[in-house]
Amino acid sequence: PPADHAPHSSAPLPERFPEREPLRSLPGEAHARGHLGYAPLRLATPLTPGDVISLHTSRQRPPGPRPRQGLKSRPGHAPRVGAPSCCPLSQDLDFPPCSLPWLYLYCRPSVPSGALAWPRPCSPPRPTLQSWTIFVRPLRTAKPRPHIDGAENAFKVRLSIRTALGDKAYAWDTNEEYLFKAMVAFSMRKVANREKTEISHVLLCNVTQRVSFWFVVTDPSEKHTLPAVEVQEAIRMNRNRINNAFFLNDQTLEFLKIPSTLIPPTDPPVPIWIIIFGVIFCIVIVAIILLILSGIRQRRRKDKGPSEVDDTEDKCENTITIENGIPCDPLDTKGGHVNDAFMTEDERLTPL
Amino acid sequence: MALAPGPDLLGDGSGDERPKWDNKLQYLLSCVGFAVGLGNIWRFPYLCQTYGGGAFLIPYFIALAFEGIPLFHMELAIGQRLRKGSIGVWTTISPYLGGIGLGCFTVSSLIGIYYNTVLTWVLWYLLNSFQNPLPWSACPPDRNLTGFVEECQRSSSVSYFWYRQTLNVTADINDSGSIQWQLLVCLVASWAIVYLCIIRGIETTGKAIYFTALFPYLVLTIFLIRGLTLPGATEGLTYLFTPKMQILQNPRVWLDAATQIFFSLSLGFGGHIAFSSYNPPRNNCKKDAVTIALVNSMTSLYAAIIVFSVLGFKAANDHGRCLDRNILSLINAFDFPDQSISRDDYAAVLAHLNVTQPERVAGLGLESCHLEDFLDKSASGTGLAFIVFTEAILHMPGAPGWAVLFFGMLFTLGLSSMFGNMEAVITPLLDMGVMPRWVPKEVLTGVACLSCFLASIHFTLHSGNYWLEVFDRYAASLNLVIFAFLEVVGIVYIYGMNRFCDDVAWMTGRRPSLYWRVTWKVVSPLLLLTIFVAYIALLARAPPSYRAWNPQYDQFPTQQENVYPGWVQVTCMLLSFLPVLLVPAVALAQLLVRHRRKKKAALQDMHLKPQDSGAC
Repeated sequence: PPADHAPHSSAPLPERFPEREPLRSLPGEAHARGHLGYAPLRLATPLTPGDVISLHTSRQRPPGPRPRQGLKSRPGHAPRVGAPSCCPLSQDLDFPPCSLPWLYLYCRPSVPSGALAWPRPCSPPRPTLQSWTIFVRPLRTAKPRPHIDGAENAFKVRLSIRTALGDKAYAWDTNEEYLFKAMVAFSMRKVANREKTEISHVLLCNVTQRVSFWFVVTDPSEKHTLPAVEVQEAIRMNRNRINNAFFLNDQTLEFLKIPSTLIPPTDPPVPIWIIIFGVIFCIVIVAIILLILSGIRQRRRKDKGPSEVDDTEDKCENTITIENGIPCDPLDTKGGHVNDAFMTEDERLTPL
Repeated sequence: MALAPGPDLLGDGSGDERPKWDNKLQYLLSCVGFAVGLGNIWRFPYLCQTYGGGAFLIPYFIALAFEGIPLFHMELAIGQRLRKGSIGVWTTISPYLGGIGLGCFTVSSLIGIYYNTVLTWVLWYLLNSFQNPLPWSACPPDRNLTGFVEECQRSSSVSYFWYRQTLNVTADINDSGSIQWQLLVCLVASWAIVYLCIIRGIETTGKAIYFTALFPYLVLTIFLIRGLTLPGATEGLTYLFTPKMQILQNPRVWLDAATQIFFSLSLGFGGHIAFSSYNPPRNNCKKDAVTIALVNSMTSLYAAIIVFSVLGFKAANDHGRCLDRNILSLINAFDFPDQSISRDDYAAVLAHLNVTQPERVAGLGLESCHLEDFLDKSASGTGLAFIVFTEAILHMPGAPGWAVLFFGMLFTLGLSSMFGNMEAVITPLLDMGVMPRWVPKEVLTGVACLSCFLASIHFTLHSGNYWLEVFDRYAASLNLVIFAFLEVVGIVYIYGMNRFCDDVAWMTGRRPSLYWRVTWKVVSPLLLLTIFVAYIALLARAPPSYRAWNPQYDQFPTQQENVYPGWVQVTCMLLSFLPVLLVPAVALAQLLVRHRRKKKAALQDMHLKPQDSGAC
């Protein structure tokens, strides 16, 4: 009998992987660089407002200058004055994502073993600042501030270029970011009422080594960010174009809050299995009919010519004469040794 | 026992000479094809895996030597000697024992009904393998095209294809649902193929068997070469074959070994009796029995090697993907560059992160990936073929080709077993002369196939899978053991051991040695009795239950354990015991018939006597 449906699994055995010494390079490096991938800058002088790394404000204010963040450290790169500011951040997992009402706009430092490391400043100091805070881990100790609407309308994007392209992977640099902003602006232009979206309205922030970043689209006045629903719809409609611009696909270029439309399966008009089934079934039916017909023909031929009489001899050989319910043959061999030389079928009928 | 049997049971059924095999090879291949079936592929490797790898071979070969080969030899011998199907053989041995033959006949027809349903499923998968990508490789998207169908996402695409797109199974055996038309169509096709091959009895079966018996071996060899070259295969083989000797202390191992060898050789069906009844009477059935039994066991072993190498590959694959998922979680959470952690570095990186940022790592919810966990996952039966293997095939390059080969092999394996099954049904009918002589054999086989087809339509309902399990567990297992036991006891103690040994000596030229006599007289009946008692004990331990695929279940995709409702339990009882009840029923009927005949004869004598005395 074929079927036995009992799956079986026993308790897992202890891990067999050998313990290796920790890697020298990557984790420590990442740790020193922090989550944002900056090389730590050691400051000889105490902090000045010029080194402000975060902004707290209770007012609606336009986004400040965006920090120049890259995969590799680029020493000596000065922030642009007047550039748009950082987008809302929620990289830190200690820190809840953007949907919270309070938001910190800042470029977070990382703190390797006590030293304060300052990534590039986000924006120039403004006199309207109410306070600025230096963030040291853990970040939860900071006070919540009133929210800026940009938080909810920002989207996180994650790229996996090396997974998609392997050896042909390109490096993610500012030019690629520019292209991305262009694609987003292009997508927004296709939405009604948003035809005036420019590349400068798209703000990127917190580019990491993973290659992931946040972006937000502002309106032409640069005071508000566009509602998430619009951005979502625009991106969804042009997802294919955006993917193709970067040689990626839906899995390697992820918009974390924008679900992608799956390609419906292309069903052929007639499922393949029906075609093959039809072929096999026709062959089988034809073969059955042929066999039946040939059987009928054979029987007709046999009925016409009488069968040979020598069948009876074979019949006697093959049947076991049964008397009183006991087959005869064993009776012959009961008692005494049978000499096989004489025990042949022909003996049963004495030849004429 | 010196009573003449009824006239309709004498002689050959057809009146002409009894059909013969064209050559010995056809007969051997037919018996091998009947014995080697789906269970060799999906039951034996599972048992090997569960019961300590190589250690299972010890009870298996012991059971083969003391139970399998002797019973097999006995079946071939009585068929060849008495040259009739199962019903004819038993009525010849003793009219009171005709019930055994009738019972074997009934069990064979019940099994033939549900076995072809499995072939239907295999055929369905075979037909669906001719496309790239394979239909079970990806989940279908849901209605808004935003994600995948939820049921598929929670389980897996292969499970979804099996349970939903093939079976469309309901959550409860009570809920019958409607007929799955695609399964019905495949059922028609598979019965048509079976009919085509047995349309003229062994005349056509003998030709078809060349392909259906040899093709599986060809495919197994191809899979062996492919399997051994897959990554992870050797680990799978070494892990799964490494003997764990302490498992032999568990009595369940011995029970399962004895059961497996019994079912693997397809004993008790009456199919081997039918096949050997077409042999010339002076044929060395002892050599045949040993050869065929050994071929069957070697095939099981061969298949186990292949299954284990593929399972090893699948486990390595799953393990790699588990690691990849964890690596992706780490990379995404800690913003490491893409592809910066390889699978080899993963353990070290994780250890480092656990030391430095344990709460964050704990919050990620990483799975534990151990290769042994994946290797320990085992499945048997339809689970192995339609879920585990189909998934493994997805990851082989050239997947549709491998799928076609695999399901083609399963189909031919099942088909050759169906030949034996249907032969066990048709030969007794022919011998008994159920149809008048002018009705051609094609009509008889056609009627048999048609009635079995109509009965098996029930298995294409949505709850068909559950019913198949019911039939498999209750109609097949218990009855076959009982009938094999009755066969041995009937031959040894009622037909007579000496008479039987003389028959064997006449056929093979040598009297059976002590080994045969001891096993026939003592060991095999004892083993069969033990199996039977153990089966009853296991069945009685808990109310019979089944595993249902219920998407609404909170622990889905684990299957829900349901108890059979009352009427299904009654059906199980009927299936288990009705065929066995035929034995005493027929014996009683014969007793009554003879009693009446004796009374009539005595009455006639009484009428004659006064005339004689009055004549002088």
